[in-house]
Amino acid sequence: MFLDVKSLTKKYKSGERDSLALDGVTFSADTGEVCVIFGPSGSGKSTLMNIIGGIESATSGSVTVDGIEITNKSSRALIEYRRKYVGFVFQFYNLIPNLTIRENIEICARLGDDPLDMDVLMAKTGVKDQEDKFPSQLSGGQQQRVAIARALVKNPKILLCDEPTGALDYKTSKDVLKLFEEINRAYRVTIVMITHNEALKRMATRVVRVKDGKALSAEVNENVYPVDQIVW
Amino acid sequence: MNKRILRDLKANVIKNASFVFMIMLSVMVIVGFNRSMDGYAQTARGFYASNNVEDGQFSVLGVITRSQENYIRDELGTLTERNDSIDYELEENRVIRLLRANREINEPIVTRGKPVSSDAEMLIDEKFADANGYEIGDRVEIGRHIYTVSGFGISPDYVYTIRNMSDVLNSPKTFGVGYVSDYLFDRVETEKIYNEVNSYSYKLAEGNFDYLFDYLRENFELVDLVKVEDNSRINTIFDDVGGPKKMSMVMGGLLIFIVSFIISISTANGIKRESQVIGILLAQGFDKKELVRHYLTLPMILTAIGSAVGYAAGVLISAPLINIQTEYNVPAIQLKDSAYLMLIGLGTPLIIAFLTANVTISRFLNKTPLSLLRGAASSVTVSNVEKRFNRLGGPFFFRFRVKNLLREKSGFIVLFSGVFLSAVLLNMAFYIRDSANHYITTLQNQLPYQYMYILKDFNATSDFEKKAEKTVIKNMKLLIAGDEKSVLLQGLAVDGRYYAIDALERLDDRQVVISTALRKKFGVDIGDELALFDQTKGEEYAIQVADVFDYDVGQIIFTSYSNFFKITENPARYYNALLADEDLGVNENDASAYVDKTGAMESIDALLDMLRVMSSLIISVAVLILIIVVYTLMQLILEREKINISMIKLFGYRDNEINALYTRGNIMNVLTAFALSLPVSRLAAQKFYDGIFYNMQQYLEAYIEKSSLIMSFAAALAGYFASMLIIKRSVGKIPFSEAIKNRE
Repeated sequence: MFLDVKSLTKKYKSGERDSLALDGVTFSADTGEVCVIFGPSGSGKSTLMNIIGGIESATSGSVTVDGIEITNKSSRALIEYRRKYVGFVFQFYNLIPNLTIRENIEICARLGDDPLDMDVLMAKTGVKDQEDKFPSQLSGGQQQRVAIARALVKNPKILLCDEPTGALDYKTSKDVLKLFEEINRAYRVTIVMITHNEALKRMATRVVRVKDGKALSAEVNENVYPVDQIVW
Repeated sequence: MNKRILRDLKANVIKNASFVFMIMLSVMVIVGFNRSMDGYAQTARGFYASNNVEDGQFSVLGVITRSQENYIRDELGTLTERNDSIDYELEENRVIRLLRANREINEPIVTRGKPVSSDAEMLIDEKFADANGYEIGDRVEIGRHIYTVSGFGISPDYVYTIRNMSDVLNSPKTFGVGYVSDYLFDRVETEKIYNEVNSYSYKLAEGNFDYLFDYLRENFELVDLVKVEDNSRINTIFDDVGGPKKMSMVMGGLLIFIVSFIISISTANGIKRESQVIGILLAQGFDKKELVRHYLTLPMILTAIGSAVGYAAGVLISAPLINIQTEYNVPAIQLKDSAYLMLIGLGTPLIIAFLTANVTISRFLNKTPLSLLRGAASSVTVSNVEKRFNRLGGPFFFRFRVKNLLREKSGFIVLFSGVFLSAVLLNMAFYIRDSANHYITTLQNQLPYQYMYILKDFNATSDFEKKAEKTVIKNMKLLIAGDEKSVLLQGLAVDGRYYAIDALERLDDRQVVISTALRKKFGVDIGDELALFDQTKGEEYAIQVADVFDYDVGQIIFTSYSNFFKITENPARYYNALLADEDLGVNENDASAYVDKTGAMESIDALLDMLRVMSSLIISVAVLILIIVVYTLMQLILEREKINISMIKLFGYRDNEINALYTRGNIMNVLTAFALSLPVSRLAAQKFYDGIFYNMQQYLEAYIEKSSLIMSFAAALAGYFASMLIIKRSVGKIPFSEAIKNRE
């Protein structure tokens, strides 16, 4: 499997007592899959994504991405992992405010060994017309499109998306999700998406349900819906 | 709220300690130097007033009789007193000048021991005693007399104990003064002095200088006149303390400004970070004034601590700082606190900090509670300058760095000012040292003679003409822009062997050749029509500059021997000075001035030792300022950029790449500041020396060796890289959580 998460545990020390954010989570996904991890707030899904993204360490268990076990890597090796393998998309876009749209994408284009063509990508994500503008001049939906283009441009193997539609209205959310659908199809990139919106599990090929740090279920979705047909 | 201040104080202990340290350093420098130099000047002034310092001195050919003296006193209201002095050569080329202990003008003060109470006792100047190991009670053989040292002391007219008034530096090892009873002088008063030039001090009691001057001109040949303000033995002390005073005020003041701006940037960062909390507090009914007061408290506390500690440290160091002026013979220095220093040291930093912080804080708090709640203070807008720059293009990383520079422009301007200030200090330290060094070389290369004598008896010059070249020299005032500058007018034989000035042959009647030193110091040049003022005659003479002679040692106006008398409108012809390669054996008491090239160079060498210590001290302080300013400002800039830095770390940028993007551009800042500091520090060093030599005919050109420039640059770079090394660690410590925590 492309992504293999095995018995993943994460303990935090808070004061005198330990709190268990992840408690033996196990699931996997194949190359090019859309994997939706859903669960309520505080269920541990963000911690799970941070560990897969190589920005947080696990207490025990393992995560393997494309055959590389990242849970035992040094921080230096994790930088290289993030650089070559991972693209991030956040709920609040996190664009650099004093860079233009093109520059916000360009900053990540310089990281990949085989980056995608920026102009083609901007056209595909629908922000080509806005390339000389600054983030503050764009709507939330447009900013999220830029964030997606930025994450994709270095041609990562895995795209980690943390509540990518959490700050958007219904219509814009659907547009953004359609974009994910398109790029998954076009670039065969594995997408791991965190959400508390249960309806989104319909667009996933694999669905992991998390609660209280445990993976309650991890199933293959045989009946994937196009985003257009999903309502919530 | 107060607990928050305490928490802030503790949480950023290194940053806050840096602020306190920098304020402390600025105030300490200002208070320390000014208190000590003021003490010096006040002590000298008090001493001059209580010991009846002269109003001036003049030299006439012959002597003023007792009845003439009485006339001047009773009718003209002016006291005159002959400056009797006898120079004795001791072993090891040392000379002691014995003066009357019993004087009405320039009375000596006893600084230790007892006054002279018998003909066999002597009061001796303390610097000479220290340098030669004389103690109170010692018996010293001088000429045919043996004197017991009754104590140490000095008179106002020898506070700067130089042998000739034209000497630049003192040399306590080889020259000093002693005060003895009248007995010695009463015995040597002979016919001889009636043919010689004699020097007198005068004190205008109710008198008027013009009456005295007219009387002297009518009755004597007035050879020289030196008013108290031009007397380097009395007045150099005031010029000399002025340098450190001005320098400390400018440097300390600039540093206070820089630190205040750094503190206000830090406060602004805090407010931006807490924009939502402020919004909540305002929404809950907190008054804007309360919040301004709250955010002002920390900067004011830090500034108050820094100022108070700095003032105390300044007071502490002012006592040892007295020792940087080692040249002067003054009574024990009394250090006093003055209101202006308290105001500058304790008040100014608080006022500056209050104003800068207040402007910053009020600007943010003018926003509505709702917009603050939505993070208005921390939201980022793109300025028009950034938008305009956007169209310029260029490589991506270059644009990225320039954009950051524009974004953080206020921080970078302050950083630039701090680096500039420390670079000026650094270069000045080297300039001060190298200039003195260079002066020795110039003196060695350009002073054409080994010995020069100005004789009291003009006719005596003929006795030495086989071994020496005769010349005529006169002190003059050059009138420039309403000011009188001391210069020497020297008449030389056209075929003289000491100064190879070709232009002398071609000079018209009133034409002169000026030294390069004079051109550089006063900005006069070939073709200029100038006026010379002869104080002894009260007359002005017109001259024209025909040429410039490469001579950096002193402010000299050269002309031919015949032109000298045409210019001074003097029908007589005489010589008064001798230039020679070997010691002519002129009796010390027959010369009114004496220059020994080797001795002059040795005394500058002694000064260099002191300057070396001083420049090392300045270099250390400059590097320290550079490190702290670069560190604190970069820390503040990184703090503002930490979300973006965290983000690009998360994308996979390595720490050294992030450092390159956010901090390496600063090297341009350092290079530019250093380059700009060069002319400024040259000017400052020149002003420093011009201040010291204000009343002298010497000129010391600001000069720096190439190797010193390299060392200065290396020191600046070392300071910069040291702070960058610490900053690099800070970049590594920025957590990912900054990027992944929710932000709107």
